[in-house]
Amino acid sequence: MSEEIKKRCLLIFKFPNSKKGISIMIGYVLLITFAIIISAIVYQWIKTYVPREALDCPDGVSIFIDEITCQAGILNLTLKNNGRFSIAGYFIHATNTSEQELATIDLSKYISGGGSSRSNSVIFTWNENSMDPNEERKSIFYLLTNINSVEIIPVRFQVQDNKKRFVSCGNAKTKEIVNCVGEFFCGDGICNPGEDCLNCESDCGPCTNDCGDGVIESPEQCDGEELGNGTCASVLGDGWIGELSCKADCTFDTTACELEKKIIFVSSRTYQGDFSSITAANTMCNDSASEANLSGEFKAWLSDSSQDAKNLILPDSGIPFYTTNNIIVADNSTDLLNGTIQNPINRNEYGTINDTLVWTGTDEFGDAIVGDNCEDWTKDNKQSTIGNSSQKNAQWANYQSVTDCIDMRSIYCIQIN
Amino acid sequence: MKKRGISPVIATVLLVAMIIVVGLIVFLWFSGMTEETITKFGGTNVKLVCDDVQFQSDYNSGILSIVNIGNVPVFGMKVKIFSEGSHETKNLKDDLSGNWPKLGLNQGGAFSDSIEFAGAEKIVLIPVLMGSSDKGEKTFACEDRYGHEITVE
Repeated sequence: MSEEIKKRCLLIFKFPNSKKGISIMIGYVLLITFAIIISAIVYQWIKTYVPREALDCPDGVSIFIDEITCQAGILNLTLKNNGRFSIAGYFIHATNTSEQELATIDLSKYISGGGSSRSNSVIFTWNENSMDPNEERKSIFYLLTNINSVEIIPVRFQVQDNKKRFVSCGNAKTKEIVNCVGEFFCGDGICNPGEDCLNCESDCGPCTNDCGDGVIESPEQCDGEELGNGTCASVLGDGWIGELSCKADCTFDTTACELEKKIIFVSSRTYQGDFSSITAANTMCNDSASEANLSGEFKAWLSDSSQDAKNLILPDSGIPFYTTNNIIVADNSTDLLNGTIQNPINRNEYGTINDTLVWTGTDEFGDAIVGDNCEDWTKDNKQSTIGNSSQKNAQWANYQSVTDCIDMRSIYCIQIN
Repeated sequence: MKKRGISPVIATVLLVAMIIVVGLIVFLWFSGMTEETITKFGGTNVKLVCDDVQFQSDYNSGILSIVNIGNVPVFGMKVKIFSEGSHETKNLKDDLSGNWPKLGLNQGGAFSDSIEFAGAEKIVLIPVLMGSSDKGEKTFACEDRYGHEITVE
């Protein structure tokens, strides 16, 4: 019986005349398999401990406050780039008492000229390091608060991992003492915004009483058909269009003005990630818009290996973006591309709420995420970046990377004309 | 006298089965012992990111001020309050101030609020970061050595 079992076993494993062959072979296979599995586990764990290059400014970045003056709440600041690198702008904080050591009052929201407020900073030109070494820039702030000192931290745009990053140069911080009463007051000798001959004759001069004579005289804004150079935009701000007229009391009538805007929506229809191309997605967007009676030309907010979504809306026209139910998303293209949006893009073409996951292949700054676009939207077994339409932080566009391009998801559609 | 034992085939099968079972038990035991990995900035362990946090802080006349001058968003701040030889830890956002920004201090972000640390000799501000793990977004408090010590007058 024993001889019979032995013969059968040797036949099965085809190792005649060897009692050790089977065990050694299986031993090797087991050993190698274990080694591979353990190596994979250890690699996954240990790779997170590999340090990456930190996002940091070069040492040669430096800025200095050349001149700072303050009168009647108007702060004039002249900065000089005395470093070796160009910068994009600066963070500006202030103290309001001499006891306060650390400046925490954000002044960027009071910027009136010489830059614009973006992400708590003053930026000269978005996405560019436009202030070169040895260059001087002036900025004006209309303050509504008293300040005692200002602290300035330069900021730059730097490319890291093929992406343009916004970098704070904390080591180049500079400070200056300035006493500034941040309030307009009647009697300061300047006809400030909000003052006129009625409420501040000493600063703005005496009123005249000839409204209706067809001639604009202070404090009249207009007179009959005479509007001066007034337009909806000059009265209400950039982005307003329509017909401005004059009321009987010689003030502007803006009832016929309307805000120029562009629509952005998340499609009610869903698609697999292999819809073939961005051109095909553009057609899908326009079909959805037409069905919902939305006018204008729409394009899909997608990137691939040859184009970044941000180029759909650059250069910045200054026109704000709204959802289909008239909720503001961004003040302009620059605002849309600064990493966060003001409200989620969670309305579909019909104005209905649609909190869902969205194909983007794009980060929150409108740049393509390389290799994360279902292989240029052609493969259902590749990976892609998706956005989350319920979010207004960076996740609106860059929620996560998924490996299931076969899933059905929506797309963002943005009006370009 | 004839010596007999189990056949080589049965021995091999038993050995393989034992290795698989023991390996599984060891793996489950070990994975339960290791802590969950939290990463930030596309895969860097959040413990390493703590090295890059740069913020300034001050406590003067009852006002706590913090400015993020670096490039790592500070989601929250743990406050270790030392008094009479002992200490207690509080969360700035939940326990001490309603002014802390909901999404934390981003680049250039500043915080200031009137906070009373009655009887305290010193406080240590320890940054809390938001990272990602297999179970979604998670907060991570940096080690104490990354904290800022402030003497309370």
